[in-house]
Amino acid sequence: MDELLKIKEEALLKIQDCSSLKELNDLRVFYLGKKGPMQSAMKSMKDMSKEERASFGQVSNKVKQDITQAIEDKKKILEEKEMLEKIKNERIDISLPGSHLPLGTIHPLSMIREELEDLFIGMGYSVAEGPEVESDHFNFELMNLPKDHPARDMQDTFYIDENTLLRTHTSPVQAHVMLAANGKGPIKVICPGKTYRRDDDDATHSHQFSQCEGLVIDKNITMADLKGTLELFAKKMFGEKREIRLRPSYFPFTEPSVEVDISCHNCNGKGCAMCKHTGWIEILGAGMVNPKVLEMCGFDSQVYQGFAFGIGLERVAMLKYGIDNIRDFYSGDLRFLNQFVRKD
Amino acid sequence: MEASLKLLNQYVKVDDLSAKEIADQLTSIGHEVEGMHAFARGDKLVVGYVQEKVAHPDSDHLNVCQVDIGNGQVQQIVCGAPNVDAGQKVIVALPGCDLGDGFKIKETKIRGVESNGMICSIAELGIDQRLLREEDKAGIHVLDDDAPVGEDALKYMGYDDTVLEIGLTPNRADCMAMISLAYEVGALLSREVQIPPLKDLNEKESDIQIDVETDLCPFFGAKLVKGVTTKESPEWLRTFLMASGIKPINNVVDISNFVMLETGQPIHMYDYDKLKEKRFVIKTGFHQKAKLLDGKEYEILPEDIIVSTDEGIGCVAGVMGGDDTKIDDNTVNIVVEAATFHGASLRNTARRLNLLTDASQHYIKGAIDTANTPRVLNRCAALLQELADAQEIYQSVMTPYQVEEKVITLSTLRVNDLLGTSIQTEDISHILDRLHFQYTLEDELFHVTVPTYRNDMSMDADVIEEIARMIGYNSIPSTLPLMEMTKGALTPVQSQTRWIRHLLADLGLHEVITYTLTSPSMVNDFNLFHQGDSISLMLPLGEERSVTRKSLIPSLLQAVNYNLAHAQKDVFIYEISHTYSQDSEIQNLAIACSGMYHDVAWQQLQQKADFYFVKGLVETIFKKLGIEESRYTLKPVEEDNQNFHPGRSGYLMMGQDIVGVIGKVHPRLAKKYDVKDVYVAELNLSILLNLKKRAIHFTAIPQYPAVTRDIALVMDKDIPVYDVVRSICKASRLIVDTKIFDVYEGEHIESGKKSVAIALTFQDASKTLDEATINAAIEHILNVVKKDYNAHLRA
Repeated sequence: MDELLKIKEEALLKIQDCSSLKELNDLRVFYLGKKGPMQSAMKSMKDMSKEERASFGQVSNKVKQDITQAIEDKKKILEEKEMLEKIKNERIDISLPGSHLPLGTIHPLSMIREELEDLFIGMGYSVAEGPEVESDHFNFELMNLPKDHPARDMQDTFYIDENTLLRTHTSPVQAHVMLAANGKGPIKVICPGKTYRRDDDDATHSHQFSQCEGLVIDKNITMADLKGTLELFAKKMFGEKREIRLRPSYFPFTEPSVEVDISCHNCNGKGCAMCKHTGWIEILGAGMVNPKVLEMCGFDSQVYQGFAFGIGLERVAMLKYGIDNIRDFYSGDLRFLNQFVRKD
Repeated sequence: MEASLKLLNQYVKVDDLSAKEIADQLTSIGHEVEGMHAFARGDKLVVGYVQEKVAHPDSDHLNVCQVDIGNGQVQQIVCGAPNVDAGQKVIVALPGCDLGDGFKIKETKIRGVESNGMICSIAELGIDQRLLREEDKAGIHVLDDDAPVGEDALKYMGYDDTVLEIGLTPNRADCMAMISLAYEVGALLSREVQIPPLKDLNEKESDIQIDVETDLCPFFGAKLVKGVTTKESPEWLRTFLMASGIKPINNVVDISNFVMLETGQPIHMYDYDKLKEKRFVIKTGFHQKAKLLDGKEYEILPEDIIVSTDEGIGCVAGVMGGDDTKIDDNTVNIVVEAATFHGASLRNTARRLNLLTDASQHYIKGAIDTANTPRVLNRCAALLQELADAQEIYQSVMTPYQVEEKVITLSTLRVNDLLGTSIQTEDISHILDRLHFQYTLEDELFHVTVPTYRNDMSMDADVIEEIARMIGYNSIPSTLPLMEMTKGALTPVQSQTRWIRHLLADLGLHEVITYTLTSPSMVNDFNLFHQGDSISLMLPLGEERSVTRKSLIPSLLQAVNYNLAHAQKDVFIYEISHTYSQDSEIQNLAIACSGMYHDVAWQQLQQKADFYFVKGLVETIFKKLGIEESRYTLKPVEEDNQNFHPGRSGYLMMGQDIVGVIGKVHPRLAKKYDVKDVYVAELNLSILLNLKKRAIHFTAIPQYPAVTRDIALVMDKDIPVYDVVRSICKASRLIVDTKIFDVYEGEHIESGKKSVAIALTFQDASKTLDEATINAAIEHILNVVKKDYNAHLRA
């Protein structure tokens, strides 16, 4: 019996001193294995009385248990130690750059276009595109700009032949949509796309640019509806704090016509260089669809009325992002494009 | 247009408002004030009296003047003007006066003599030099003797004026007339408008005859005025004209310009004594050379409207008068013409002759109020009497003209229906009154008679716009359309276009937008989809932007080149755009890749642009669009292809149709576009986005394990691996996946051969595969590739 306790004492000491999992495993094999001191001590059992044997058995079981437990406890400690050691050796320099994946960009004009599309789609508009190579009839005549109209002076046009041209605005898409509707409303559509004018390119002019037309036609559409719609647009594109101001203007295809200013987002209307110290920035043209246009496009102007607006996408992007040279949009310069990598 | 506020004030009182207030008001009713400037500048300018002039002791042209500047103050001023003299009243710029362009008057010494100010010429007051006389520039300006010493000189001269630069909209060209502009201001501010009254001129009967022989002249009026004296106009008239941007000439010419400024009616004057026959014939059909009053010769064409006198060119109607009949300093008797000509016809003439004169602009823009012409002729004659001492005035001779009364009917309900407002009937009445629109009202129904100067009004929407302008657009409420629900969605093509745009951006490419118009020297490069001729502009801005592009690749190569030139060497870009030719419109997608796509050098992670990279992009797009591999093949381009590198490019085929291309830019074209190894792809989205696609159909996840075996096959170098893999897949239905993990030529491989290592994955949906089955399958595969491609297992 004393022998067992001695073995235990010795074992526990050795386990405590043990410094590696390998050593610990050796101790386990030695003390709990078939050839260990425990087994030798057990051999004396056969000479014992029944009672003695029972109590010896009890003690030896207890000793085995204690040694096993001690080994288990030590193992946990050693494993933890070994893991910590490993962690220490695995240290890397986390300041080195990440193995980043390339991130491309959507062109800012596409970003603005998609933002507009999503805003208006959410309000039940569909998106119509028309041909960029357009007929004079659609581009001008149906927009109430007959051949001798003085306002044609406003439009410097790339003609292809007498009757064909590169569209000067997205407004002719209105006519395509209206004629396809066969005189029956409602119509709710936006028409984004490329447009062309015979302008020499400089910082503020581009012979190619993009517009987004909007058209709503039904039996009771009012100018107040136009105003509310444009207010939503202004807040979405330039922030909740924006206000709009309507000024009378003239477009042959709308009557009444309005020019729309938004309160300057750069100075909150206080006046700065961006808004030429007026607090307002001219942003788009709009109006109630001219009854003549409705009639020419197959709608009864006694029954139907509606509004239309035309937004210059470059202008919106230039104001929104502070771009001051329109040519940047068309250069393909990566130093320009890379600035639009984030979601907006 | 440029509008003088002092002149405007002649017709409607605005001198109690600041220029900024007037500008804001005009802008708010649609006459956008784009800028304003002082007619003359200089803040410390006073009337001075030259008490004494003595020669400067140290100069042969300078004088030292003692100038009384009021309040008993006398300043010593050194003056270099040749015409300065004692006893003159002059304009003095006091020290501190800013004459603009950094020219500030200081107390100084000129050649040792103290000088405290400057005596000014008109030219030094910041007035457009173009408007000035020679004498205004040559010497100091001498004021009238009664000019009050010490007073503000600009105010005394009437030069304290502000000029508004107004951007008139094309429909309101009538506002080029100050009276029309005054009506606008009067309506907005509810103020009276003063128009010069008709004058009884004690007129005699006229012997002038008029024959109009063309439809292009709806009205012609002529008035004979005899005994005029040509001289300089009075200061007030000269000042108004200059403030309006018109150079004063002499009283007779100035009167015609002033009347046009006031009424919008162009005036032309003929020297009565130069006419043999006192008859004006208005007709077309002349084809000859003619000398006009600017002394130059012009070619008259049959379509030009001509006022013919003595069978010659009396005047190119509305554009410029003829030389033979022009008034000059010796003219005594004048025929004043006020007529209406067809604007569009006149525009062509004026443009062709490059004579877009002020007068012609009035006709071109349709700003003529024909009904007002008798008044205009009366006004002209009255001014000639007043300012040019005209002795005899004759009755106006005018062609018959029926004033068409335009009546527009609208109801209060209609106004509110269109504007979304709740304006009351009496408010509308009040607004129409302010606008000087005559109307009758019955049961909320207005019958509005449009004033004759409002050529822009033809329907109820026009009148409603007037009402909206007057209540102010900003008082219109803000609502959203209340209507039947409509579906808001992109079309399938629009959605797919967006997917591609976002996919490529997410994969690290940059979207570019480049110009549709290109050069004829590039328009056919890389074109695959357009059969028709390219579309050319009639009048391009230049050769390089004169035709519409058919392929986007040239534009992308230009963008690659641009970036290379700006030290951006890794360029991965794409563009989605419509392209046009004579017979078709196609939506193209093009990709161009050059340089290093992914470069984490210190990690040895690098991916360069090459054929397989671009092919991978295209395959990824197809996968995203749901176009299965079985639907297309890649066919090598022709051996003699001029656009693409023949050994490294292929057409994407769907059946017999080329739907795209993937490849390397041909070295010859790389040189043309000044780029290096660029790999490109172009797809015909008009076909690809309109394909019928299978719906997503879920297949149960297999229950039994898959087994992968690697084999390495040795085969002839030129055999396309894709074909071999396809054969393998066909040979065993148990193959669910193949992966090529090595392609090797060189040591240990016979020359002319290559070794291709492929991982084959076998799986059976109904059971676990055993070794024997797999071995048998491989055996069979090896037999097939041996037979089809003479490929054998690598030893």
